[in-house]
Amino acid sequence: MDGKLQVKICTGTLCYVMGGAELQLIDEHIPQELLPFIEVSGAPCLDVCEKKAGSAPFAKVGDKLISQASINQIVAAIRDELKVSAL
Amino acid sequence: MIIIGENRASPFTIVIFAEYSTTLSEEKHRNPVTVTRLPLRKLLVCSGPPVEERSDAVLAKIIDQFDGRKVICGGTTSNIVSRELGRPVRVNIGNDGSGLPPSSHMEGVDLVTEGVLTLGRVKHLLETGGENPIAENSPAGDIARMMVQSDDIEFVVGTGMNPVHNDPSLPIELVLRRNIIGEIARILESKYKKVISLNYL
Repeated sequence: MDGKLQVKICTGTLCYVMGGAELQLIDEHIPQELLPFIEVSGAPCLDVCEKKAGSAPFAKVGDKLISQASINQIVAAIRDELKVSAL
Repeated sequence: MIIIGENRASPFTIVIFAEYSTTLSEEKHRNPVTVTRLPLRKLLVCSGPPVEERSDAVLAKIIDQFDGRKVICGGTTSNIVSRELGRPVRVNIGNDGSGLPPSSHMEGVDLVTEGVLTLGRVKHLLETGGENPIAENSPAGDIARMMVQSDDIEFVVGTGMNPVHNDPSLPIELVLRRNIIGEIARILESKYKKVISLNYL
């Protein structure tokens, strides 16, 4: 993984129908200067929807779980995590 | 050369007739020259988590040991198999224009896809498709083609349910997995003359 910040997008059924389909294009919305520091991947299921951890769609930025994830929220979380790891 | 056909219930599977002429009478004779068996094309389709966790290992073993092509439909299902076999799942994230969740890759499995949305589309393609391999470029198209190109298809259906799929506030109604697989199996048998087995975990 080369120490990059892992960004995982859930592609499971519930997340996909609740807005996760749009998150497939997250790569196109991440600022260029952040791209070298992150790795975006999909997860077949993050296995959190049954655990009442929030509402779909879910995404993970590092260890941070994002509920009702939107592209803006994910980008903001990436910026926060990269700032923290830079300290 | 004429291939008469295949009778699975009989020791004779394929009889090939060859035509040739005699030098004396120039009458063509037909004789059976070869009785042989073409290898059956087998496909395993697994979808749904087992109703009991202790059957997760059984599901993984079925997949690992199956002699043929293998498809897993479902995020939870693929996570279970990935954990049990120690093989990561890599999602082909991106938009292929099909409107379906992306497919994934797991070593030793020919195709990994999402579950009920994809299977719903597979059913539609099989219902409306003809004899030729289905042309749609999507995970559902890939599955439908594999089904049409197989002879024996075994379904292993996990009957564990995700209660969140039954939430009435969902924007769409998610069909019960076992119902849609049952319908797919019926179409494969009646329209495509496949040999089907359905097993539940």
